[in-house]
Amino acid sequence: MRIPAGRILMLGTWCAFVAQLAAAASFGTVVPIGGHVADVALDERRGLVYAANFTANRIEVISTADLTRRVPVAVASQPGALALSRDARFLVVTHFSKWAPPASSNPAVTILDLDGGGRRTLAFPAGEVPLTAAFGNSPRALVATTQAFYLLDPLEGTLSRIYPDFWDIPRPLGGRDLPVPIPTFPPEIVQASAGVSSDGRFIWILAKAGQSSGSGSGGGSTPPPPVQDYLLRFEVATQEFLFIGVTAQPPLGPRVVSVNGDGSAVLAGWAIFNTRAVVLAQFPYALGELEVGGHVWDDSRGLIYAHAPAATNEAPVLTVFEADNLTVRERIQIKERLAGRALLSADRNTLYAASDSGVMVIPIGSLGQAHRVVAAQEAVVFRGNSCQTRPLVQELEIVNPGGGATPFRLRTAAAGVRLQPDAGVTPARIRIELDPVPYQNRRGTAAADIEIISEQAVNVPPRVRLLVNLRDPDQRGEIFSVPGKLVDILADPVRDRFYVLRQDKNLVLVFDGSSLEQIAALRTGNTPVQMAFTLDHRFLIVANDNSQLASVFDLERLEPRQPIEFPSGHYPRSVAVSRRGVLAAVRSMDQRHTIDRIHFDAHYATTPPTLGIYQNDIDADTVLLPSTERGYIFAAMSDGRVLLYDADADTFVAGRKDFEGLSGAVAAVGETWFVVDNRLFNWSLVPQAELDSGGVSSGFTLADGWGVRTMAVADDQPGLIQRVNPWTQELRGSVRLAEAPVRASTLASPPAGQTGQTILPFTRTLAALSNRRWIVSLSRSGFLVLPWDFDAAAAPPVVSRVVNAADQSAGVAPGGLIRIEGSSLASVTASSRQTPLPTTLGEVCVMVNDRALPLWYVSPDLIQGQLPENVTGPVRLTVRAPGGLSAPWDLQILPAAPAVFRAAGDGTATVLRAKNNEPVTLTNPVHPKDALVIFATGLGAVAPPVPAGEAAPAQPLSSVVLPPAVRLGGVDLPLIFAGLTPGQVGVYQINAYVPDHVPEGMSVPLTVEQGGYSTTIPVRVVKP
Amino acid sequence: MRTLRLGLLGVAVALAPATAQVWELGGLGSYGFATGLEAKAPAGTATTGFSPGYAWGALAGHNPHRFVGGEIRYVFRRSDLRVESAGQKVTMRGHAHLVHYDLLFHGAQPQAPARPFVAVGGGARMFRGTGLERAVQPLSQFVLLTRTRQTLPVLSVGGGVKVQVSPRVNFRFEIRDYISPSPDKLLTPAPGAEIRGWLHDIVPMAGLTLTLP
Repeated sequence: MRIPAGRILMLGTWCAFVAQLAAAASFGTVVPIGGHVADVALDERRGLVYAANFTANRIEVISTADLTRRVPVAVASQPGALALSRDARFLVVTHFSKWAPPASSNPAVTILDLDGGGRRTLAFPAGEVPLTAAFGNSPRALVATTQAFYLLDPLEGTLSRIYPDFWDIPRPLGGRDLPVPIPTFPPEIVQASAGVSSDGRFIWILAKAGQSSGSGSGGGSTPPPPVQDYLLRFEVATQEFLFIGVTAQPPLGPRVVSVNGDGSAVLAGWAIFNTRAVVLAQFPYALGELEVGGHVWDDSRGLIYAHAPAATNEAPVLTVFEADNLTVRERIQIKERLAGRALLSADRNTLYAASDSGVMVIPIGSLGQAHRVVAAQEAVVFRGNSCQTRPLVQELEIVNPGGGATPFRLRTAAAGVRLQPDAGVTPARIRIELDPVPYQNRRGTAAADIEIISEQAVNVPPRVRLLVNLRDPDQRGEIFSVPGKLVDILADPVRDRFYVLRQDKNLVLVFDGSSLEQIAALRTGNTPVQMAFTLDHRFLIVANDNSQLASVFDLERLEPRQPIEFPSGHYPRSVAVSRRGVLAAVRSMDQRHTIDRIHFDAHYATTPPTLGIYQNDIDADTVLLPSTERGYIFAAMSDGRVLLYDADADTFVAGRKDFEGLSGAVAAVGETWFVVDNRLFNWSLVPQAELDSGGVSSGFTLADGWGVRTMAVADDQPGLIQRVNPWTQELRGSVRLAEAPVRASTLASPPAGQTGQTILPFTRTLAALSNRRWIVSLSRSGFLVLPWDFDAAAAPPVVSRVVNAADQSAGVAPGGLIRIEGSSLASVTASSRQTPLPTTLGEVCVMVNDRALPLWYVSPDLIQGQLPENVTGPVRLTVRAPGGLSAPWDLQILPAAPAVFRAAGDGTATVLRAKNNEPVTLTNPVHPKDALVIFATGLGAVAPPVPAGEAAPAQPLSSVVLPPAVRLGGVDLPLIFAGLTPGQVGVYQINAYVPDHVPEGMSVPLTVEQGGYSTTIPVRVVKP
Repeated sequence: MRTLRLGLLGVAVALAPATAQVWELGGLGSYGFATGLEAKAPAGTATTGFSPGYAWGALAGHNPHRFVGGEIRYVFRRSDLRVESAGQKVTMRGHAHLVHYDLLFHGAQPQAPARPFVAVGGGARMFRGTGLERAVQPLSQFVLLTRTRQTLPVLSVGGGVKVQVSPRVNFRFEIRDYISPSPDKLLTPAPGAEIRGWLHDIVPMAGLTLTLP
């Protein structure tokens, strides 16, 4: 078991967490018993819970109906374990009377006949102390003592000693001698617990190994390990034992056994074992304290409820785990710490557990009706650009998963963030407004959290990740938001897919390589670290650092296959497949970390005694990589050592240590070259060259024979991507990424509860997809998608003309739509229909002085946008495009410069006859009594004002401040309205009436004049 | 409007000396056919004018002499505006009102069972375009079909035969050619285009007249 390196970091987090909990609600009820509970039993027939009060020498009786204490049952000293017969007639009480000499011991078991009211005490031979007992689906109970196992018949009052065939271990079961120092609690004293499968066929017992008795074939010649436990499975029908010797560091605490429905797996202390003693999953941050915590397996829901603190002073939390891989689903605040066995009622709705004060009752089935609060989204991402001046807005939904109304508050330390409202009752939709100004000088992604606080909620609301990315147009890559800790990426070479390993949820996320949409999520073991393809690319192998196995997935069916089991105490962290050997770098609990060999078809791994001529002793932080053609496997260790496995020789052929440490991006470059960070190694592992460093390396991959690598300077700064010829070290120019690629330091964060975290110092964050369209880079918000030719040259933008967008004349006015003509203005053609209009479109933004223009169309030779609504006079206009920054263009903004829109193509002016809502043309001439609607831009200020980029409102209408004069053939047309067209951006309309006395003609001048600036359109007028 | 008023005044003057003579009142119906006009434009040539359509009318005549008479007539003619070229045809709904006075020269005695006659006269024709205008009209490079009205002088020539059905009732069959200039307000030549020719509206008509003493 690994002690997390981030423990110190966690303390700060926990201080805040504890403070938060102090004001929060908790779930469940505590029934104090005035002593220390050693065990509990549930009598549903009578509606009672029995609690063995170890120190008060009595059995506490608690009503499940009203949770009141009934008259306790006095028993002999130190009742250590309880077992209730299946018919609830007999309650068996073991007495832990294990006193250090010279005190005398009276080891015994009490049988209480709950129906008849009788009681019987059975004694054990001297020195043989009963530890625990359990009833399976048999009338007889199994009793484990420090020396042997017995079958107890409560009806007959007999004890039958049974001797498993292999019960020849050198050391019997143990337990601490009394008296014990203050404070010492019953689980620390008895150190044994039993659990029964739901079907009653199997009884599992976890007990501490005692002192060597000197008997048995083992002979005691080997020094005992620091902690040795026994895990035994007893099959009730056959009376056969399965014996597992366990050495655990830290010890298997809490000292509780929870069994799944059919007895095939058991959660003993902090690890789930199967019948082959393989750890299927374990709590990543187990403390190993025997007296703290408890758990129970809810097989009907596929869940495990556990109090499993990750830190010593952690506030008590019941964690809801998914039973297959111990993924944390939810965390519930409880009143106090559990301290031993937990039981579920038959309907699985109520949990009864030994706790610090006595017995805790948690109505787990009513969790849906309890006050809870969570955010519907794991992360909120704001994306903008360096031209961003207008606040960005996102929405966050706060809900009660059970559907009820739960009050809550929100808090964030993020700069420029306004939460509206910042408190409320679920369900609620929160508007998050971000002022981009505090982020103007960052070109990467800034991260912060939104904290959800609720005094009524019983759950621990996960924080919402808040990410802000303001980028320059030349920063490449489209950001895909994928929350969580993404630690590895692989492109499928034969399918148009790529795989991303999400460590915090124990998932492989499968994405389609063309649509870039997630198409599947595959459940791994606990804390997956790295992935590998089999040689035929049919299967994906995933190494798990908190499971003693590697997960295997069939990539054709996207289904799990039988995993690969590793030797005891070995946890795979990195896997690589060569033409011959399949190897895994494993973390070993005995601190002698190894490279294990996987026998893929046989689904297990073994530990070679040596690695060729080398000792099989590697660094815990070792990464394995296959060469391109799978002829070699390269191993890099954080202590600077490197190793090379040759598939043809089927052994390790090279090992060196030329550096004090290694970290960063790792990759195989072809068959015989390998990259670690900026260093290139040949196939003798001799460092050959060093690439220019532009930051901390993150990823390296091959694309069209060239290497592509990413680097990060800082998390909130842009990353770099560049193409490099690994053989000549020729570099192509660096291109800035939209956000920083992930680094090991980025990934490491204070863990939340029992969510695993294993971050190797080596990173694999780049994948060149097999469709040759995209290169995908793991990044701070999720991943970045870059085009295959991400480094295609882009010329700087050149502005050649700026005119109004209506008639393309030179006059422009505040709030008017303009055309910017030139070259290299954008690398793509893009348009936007959304309002407010974006200030960056197609990686282009335009500044007028310090104001960013809302844009609605960009192309390489044309940009169309809207001038600010309140800027007049001489200004400087610049275009920021992927190719850089244009030279400033001097522009004179007039107070008013009306210009009537012209239709594309024939240039027809957009003067409409209201009668048929069609433009005035020679075939649709103006008639007297017509109402004309003239669409124009450049009519200047309006009241009420409308910010640039936003659609004009319909209510109230925004009218021009300076009304225009409209004349037809010299005749003034009465105005009906002049102002912004509702729903449009920067479009004005003039509604005018045509009197009878207008002149007739094929080309009658229609003039719009405003503020000394006029525009004229010839129209045909026909009179009756 | 001014043209129409003058026309009516003329008819009134002509009728005055006949009030004591033999009068004839009647009604006519028909289906007319107008010849096309040539519209020339840089883009080519088109035919414009009016579509065939029904017509109906009423007349009041007097016969002061055995062989010469006169009559005033009103005709409504359904005449949609049209332009066509290269197989493409565009129309706009329209009609015309005609008022004219003709001199009739008969070829037989009033008592004859059949009296052939020739007629010549003049008056006014008001063209009206009544259809919907559209911003885009096909063939607008030749002619702009316009919703408006225009009154033009019209020359009426033709002939026919009156057949006595009873002592007071005559069946009349005749054919007229209404000749007028092109109504350029309705059939407006597109810029750069021109419309040539006179409009001939050939209207065969049949009807009954009642002879009054």
